[in-house]
Amino acid sequence: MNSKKGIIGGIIATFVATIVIILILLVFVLGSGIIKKATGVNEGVKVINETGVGIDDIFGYLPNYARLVEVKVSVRQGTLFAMASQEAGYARG
Amino acid sequence: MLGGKKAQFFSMYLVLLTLLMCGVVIGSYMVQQDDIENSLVSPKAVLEVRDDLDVFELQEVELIKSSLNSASGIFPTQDFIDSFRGIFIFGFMENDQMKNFILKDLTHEGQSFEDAARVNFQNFLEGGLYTKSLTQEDGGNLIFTRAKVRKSTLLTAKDKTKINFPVDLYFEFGREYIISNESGVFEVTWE
Repeated sequence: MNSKKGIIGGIIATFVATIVIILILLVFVLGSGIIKKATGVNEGVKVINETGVGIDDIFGYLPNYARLVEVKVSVRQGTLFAMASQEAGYARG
Repeated sequence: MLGGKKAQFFSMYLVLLTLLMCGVVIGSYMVQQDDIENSLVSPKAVLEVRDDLDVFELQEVELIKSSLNSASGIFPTQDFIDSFRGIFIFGFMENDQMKNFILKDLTHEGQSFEDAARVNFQNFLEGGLYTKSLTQEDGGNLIFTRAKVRKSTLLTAKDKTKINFPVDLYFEFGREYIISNESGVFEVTWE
């Protein structure tokens, strides 16, 4: 009698475990999409943002370049460099 | 009874093993993602060197013009050239911005030349950068040449903990000015 109960218990436990494993694998497969999104992967390739390639540096550089262009124009029109850079607010160098 | 407990334990073991395997896959994926992260060299440094050269040349032209106006003698005789060169070299030495630009990362035959040129700066200007033989009269005009010099620097990525590729940057520049005098007004042009 006990042996029969044990066999039935074993079968039930294996059946429950199988369902749990199937659920775990389903969560794993479906959850991989969420993990890919969380780590910034797009179609298997990690996308580098603008900081990684220095593009944000260029955004920071451009305003000063615009001021340098102003200085060049002023100098071409006859203004002295020191005065032109002061007027344009150009400070690098 | 013992066989039933064994079966239950085995079932639990399978569930735990599955969880462990999923954990291992997720963990190795995370590690792999960290390993392929990279950091690239910003092009900003190259743009800034080019801008600094523009600023240097604006100041250089200004200094040439003021030196020409202050020089004594008849254009373009040797006396005039010597006077002009003396005033120009003196003005250059007084301008820290021009001095720092020309000396920064200066190299000669693959070796750093910055310190040597800084110690003997006047000689570097008179005998190297603006060598006397490169200032000469040509068909009524004056040719004033800045010899080619080379800057060299190593550009590195911001985040060195990621995969990064340092870039060896070489930048060579020089210029030839053609100075003419039309009715007492000096005109400075270059190619």
